[in-house]
Amino acid sequence: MKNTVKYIVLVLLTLAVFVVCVCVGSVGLDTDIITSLRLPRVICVALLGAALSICGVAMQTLLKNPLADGSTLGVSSGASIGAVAAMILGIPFVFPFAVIAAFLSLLLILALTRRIDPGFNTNTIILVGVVFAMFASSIISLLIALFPQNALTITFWTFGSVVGVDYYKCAILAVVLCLGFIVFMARANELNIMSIGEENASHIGVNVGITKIIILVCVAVLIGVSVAIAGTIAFVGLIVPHICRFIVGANAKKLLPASLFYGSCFLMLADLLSRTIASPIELPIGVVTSVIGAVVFMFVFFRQRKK
Amino acid sequence: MNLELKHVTAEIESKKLIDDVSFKLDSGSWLMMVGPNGAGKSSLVRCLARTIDYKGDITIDGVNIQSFKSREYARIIGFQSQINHITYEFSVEEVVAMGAYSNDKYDPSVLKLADLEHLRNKSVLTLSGGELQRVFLAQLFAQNPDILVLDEPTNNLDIKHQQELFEILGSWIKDRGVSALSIVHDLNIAKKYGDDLLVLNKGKFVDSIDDAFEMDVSAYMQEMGEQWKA
Repeated sequence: MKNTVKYIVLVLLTLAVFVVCVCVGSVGLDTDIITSLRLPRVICVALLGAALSICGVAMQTLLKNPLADGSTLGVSSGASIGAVAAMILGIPFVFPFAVIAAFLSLLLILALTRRIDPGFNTNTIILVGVVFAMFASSIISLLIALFPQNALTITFWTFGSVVGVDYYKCAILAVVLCLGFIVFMARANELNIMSIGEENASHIGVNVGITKIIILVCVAVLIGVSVAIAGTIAFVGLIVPHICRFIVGANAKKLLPASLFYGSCFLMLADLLSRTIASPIELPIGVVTSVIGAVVFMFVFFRQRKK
Repeated sequence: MNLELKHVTAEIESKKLIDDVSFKLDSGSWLMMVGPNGAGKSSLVRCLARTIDYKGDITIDGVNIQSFKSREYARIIGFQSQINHITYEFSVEEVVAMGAYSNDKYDPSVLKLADLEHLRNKSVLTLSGGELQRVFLAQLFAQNPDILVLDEPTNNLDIKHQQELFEILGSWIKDRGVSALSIVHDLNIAKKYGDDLLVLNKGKFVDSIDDAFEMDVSAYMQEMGEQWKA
């Protein structure tokens, strides 16, 4: 199948999934519920899926690591600290708190990486990101222990939750997603070359340092805003790029648009499942993506080991 | 294009990797560099690739190499990459075409030069070591630089594939009249393809193989000299 046809099918598939997700729910086709609750939620979920997936592509190619995703950088954990702090302090504006925390985390992670390794080696970035994520996780656990009255809200949020999202948040996410996607596409050649090897990229003429900073900042902004809106939704950024590689190959120029649409579809369907499978109880969306993701994660891991 | 090094010194944690090295690579000539392990050959290549700090001057046609932007530098000088493992499933042609990043003019005929036409659409993950070396050689051809720097280009290859690779490389270098600097271990190859031999030991450069005998050099270098003269 030619690529143009593939993309047309992909757009139509995304639209079809979107319509199904808007129409299907525990209360059927109620206009008020659809326009005020379900429509913004499905739009938001579609945008989140796309954002997390393209960040996964960017991180996996940049770091030459098939097990990386947007959270590898540690920024999502930083954003979570901001959001959890806002919840504990009773501040209604969780969103700006999480975004500010994400930016501060990015600055801290980059400063630490630069201090340890001025060359921004990919292994150092992964190491600092993982250590920071563990540190942030323990801070969140400490906050839950100190403020048990907020434990349920925080725990639910950290699993990922899109309850109560509005058009305002959708608009912010849409703008950030468009900008991030444009930057990633503009740097697709560099991403491809970096995925072969950093030294090779430098020999070919890629400014490795600048490329890394641009991509990492974009990922941090996208992940920071996504986490601020919906908490930590695991595995989307990890598995969608792998599924898309089977379909369109490893070239970032094709992989990024494919992941944008497949990521949307994947998360819309996961959300549909989370709100209908145990209705009237709603499962956190992150639990659904984690269950599916864990299986695919193991599959990818063993496939890599075989190679 | 002429590449010139003047009093180049590089060190890591007070250990000198390169010690006051000076030499000139004239336009169109192919220099072979030999030396025992730890002599500083790869460090010298890293200085040229601008990946480690150094003192002294490295110039191309009189212009300091630090003043070139990344893409501009890649159009002038190319380094053969030693990559044994690729993570993602790119086709041979996709990897080769990446070489044209700095000049935006990918010419598919480079596949034929490196005898890769029949492997054009094959995944790089399925290639043998020798084929992968040819892929990165073709990538270097696609980059089309005026100066080539090759750090043990036939590393890990058997004799047949070593010869094959040097034949391809040799004809490309002569046809295009580019300047080349190769690190090699096999003096037969150095003698067959190179215009001159340079010897490096303990970070110091020896101007010619004859001078090497007058210095207090290792048995390895004496042996190299005997072979070169024979």
